[in-house]
Amino acid sequence: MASSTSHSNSRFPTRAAALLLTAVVVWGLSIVYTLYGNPEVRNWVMGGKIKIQWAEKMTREHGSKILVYGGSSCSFSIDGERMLDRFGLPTINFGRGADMGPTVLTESVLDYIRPGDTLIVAIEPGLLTQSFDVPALGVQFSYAMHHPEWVRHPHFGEPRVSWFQALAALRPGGFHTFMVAGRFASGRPLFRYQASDYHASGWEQTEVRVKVTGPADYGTHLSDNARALLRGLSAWCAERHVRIAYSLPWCYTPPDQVKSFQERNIAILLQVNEFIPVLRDAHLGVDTNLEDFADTQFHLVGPAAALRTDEFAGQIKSWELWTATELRQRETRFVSAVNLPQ
Amino acid sequence: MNFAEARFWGLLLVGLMVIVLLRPLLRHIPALKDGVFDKLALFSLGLFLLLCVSRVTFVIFLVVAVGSYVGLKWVLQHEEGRRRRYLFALIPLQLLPLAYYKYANFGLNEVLGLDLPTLRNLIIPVGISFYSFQKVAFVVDTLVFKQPLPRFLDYLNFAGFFPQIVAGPIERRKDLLPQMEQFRFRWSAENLNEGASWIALGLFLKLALADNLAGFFDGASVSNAYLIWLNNLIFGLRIYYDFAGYSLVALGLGRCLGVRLTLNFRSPYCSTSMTEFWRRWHITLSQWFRDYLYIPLGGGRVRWWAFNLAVVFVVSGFWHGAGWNFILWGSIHGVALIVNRLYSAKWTLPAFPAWVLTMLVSFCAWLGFYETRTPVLLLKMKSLFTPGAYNLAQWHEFAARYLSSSGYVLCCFLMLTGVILFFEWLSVARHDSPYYYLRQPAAVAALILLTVLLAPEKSNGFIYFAF
Repeated sequence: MASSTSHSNSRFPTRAAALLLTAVVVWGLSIVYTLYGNPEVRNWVMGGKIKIQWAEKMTREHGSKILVYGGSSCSFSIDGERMLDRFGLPTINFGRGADMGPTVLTESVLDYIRPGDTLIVAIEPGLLTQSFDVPALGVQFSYAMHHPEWVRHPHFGEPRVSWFQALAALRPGGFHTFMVAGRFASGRPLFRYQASDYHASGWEQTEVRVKVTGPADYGTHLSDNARALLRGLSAWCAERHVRIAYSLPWCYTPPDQVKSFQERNIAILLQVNEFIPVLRDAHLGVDTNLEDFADTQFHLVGPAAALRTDEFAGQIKSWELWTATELRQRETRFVSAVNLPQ
Repeated sequence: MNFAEARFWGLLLVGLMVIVLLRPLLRHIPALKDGVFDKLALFSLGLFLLLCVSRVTFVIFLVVAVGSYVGLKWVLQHEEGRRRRYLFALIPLQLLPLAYYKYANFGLNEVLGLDLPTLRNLIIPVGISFYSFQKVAFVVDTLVFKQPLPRFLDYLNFAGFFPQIVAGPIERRKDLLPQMEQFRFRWSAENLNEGASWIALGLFLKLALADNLAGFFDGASVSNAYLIWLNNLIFGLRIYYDFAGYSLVALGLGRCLGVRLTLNFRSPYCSTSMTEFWRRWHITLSQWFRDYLYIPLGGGRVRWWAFNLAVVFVVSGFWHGAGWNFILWGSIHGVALIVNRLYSAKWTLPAFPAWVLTMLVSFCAWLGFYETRTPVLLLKMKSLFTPGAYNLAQWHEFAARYLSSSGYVLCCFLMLTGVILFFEWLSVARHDSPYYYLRQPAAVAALILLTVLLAPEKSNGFIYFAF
């Protein structure tokens, strides 16, 4: 814009000002929509509140508890009520959308951890092998939960989101706008998942069924961000007398790809094990039964989630952990494909 | 100077505020009277913004700009008859940094196979191709048209006018220098209104269209002709809206400051011949090649005009990047223009088939622009012309990939692009004024709405920054 001079008293640039005002107003409205109207954000916020209520209940009634967190693979896998009823383990499933990014997934759990608790990191390996970024959904969720500090000042190093980056993220974006418009026009639900998908413990299930392919494609080296996160989280837990471990999610894997997928997972677990112990799950992230999955290669249906919950409870109770030596031995002698019973 | 980044606008605002604060205090100082403060402030603002891009860019720009001026001054000290000889020495010197940063690796390592590791990781200073060409044109115009050497400060503002320094338009002495000589910071509602419309349109093209289309580009397939065509389409639209978007923001910024820059794009995808395409695409570069290469070679009125045309387009391809793919891209356009000229006098196609044919050629040629791996490029090009690459299995693969939510969103963006192209066409057809309808107040307000709604969270860099 041209700078003003004291001599010229030309008329006001009405059109330019109106355009600027339009941009400010539209941006403001898009922030309001994102925080209060965006069906995806609303769904995660609703789920978030359910999980917090369960966490408060568990703390109140049982004292020490187990918190398991990660992306949606976690949300669909561990049934907190089953853990409590069958095994007497007060468990909160803090699984959320993987699209929020590891920083937000982690930060959003820390407030609910108390000394004596057990924290299980169940973040999908794909998130740990990429450089961290705080995606728009993570920013939107943080602000909608009234916790901007999750993205503005996270506990474990980078990345931090500047106020302008946050402002830029609080808009719907092209993909969301067109998807919502299409769903609205065709009379379909505006978001795939519903409030009724959440159980009291925060465990999530869906009626949606989509043809699933697998396994997930990710690298075998932890990113520097992931290392920093695991290192920081481990120290943070040690300071607060919180027990911590990593649990690998189950992923649909066609039988002919079991070996290579497990090989990749072992490589990742060996690196995770440098920072935090790894729960001893003999599946090594593999489930070859296609019927165990709802709408993605990570979203378990009820019976499979029950099995995963039972095995998880067993691992927690006996605190069974992989040792680095065992994992290295497995690297050379792969387990065969595991078909889970129905 | 990435107009798509908030940082640029923040820095610009800070720079302008400093100027506004200092102006009443300093412009009455005798040495800064008569607009000297304004010119100095404009140049300082440009340097500051350039320094914020990168130090290397800043230094190289100063070397080329000051070197060109000093060299020209030295040449002008000689008698007229000898100036032309010195000119031929000065131009290579002006192009030396460009040659080193952009072409040394390709020429010495890839062509001559010298394997010099230091050249492999050279980062091309942003805008070097643009400002180097502008300085060459300045030197030639000054000598050929016997123009006086401008005052150093005016020249620096001509050479470093910040909206156009890193990606053009490549301005000529006669167009920009007089404006710089008269430059003052003036508050003009008319300029601000007009400039704001251009800026809003440019940002829409860049942020809402180019950046979103970029997310759908996937050049992995080598044998599926449908996928290759789709990627050519996506890339062709993306690069147009990316570069045109940048150019329009530059135009708008210039207009806000009271400076009229050349319109670099005039809706090229509305062209009905390749000749017309090049009158509408990257206009200032086409004019540069016309005036400083094509005409000196003899132009279009000599028997070897086809050779001249071929040379121009091969060099144009090479200007865009040091690689065989760019040479192929330029060659395709050169051949198309030669064929166009040979047959346009004999056959005149109706407008619609002529438009389809023009688009087919230009979008096919984009393959040479984005596919930098020569063997893969040749395989892809072969697939485009192999009937077997259009079989049912390939179609199923194509459909499977795009019968998804991602494919649906891509369709939406392509439809939005179609609407914009329609208004571009309407503007050209009814008013012969590019982007006329898109610059109407209601349209600009709608574009702002769409930009805020649709722009991805993170902007991609401008493609032409790499040139």
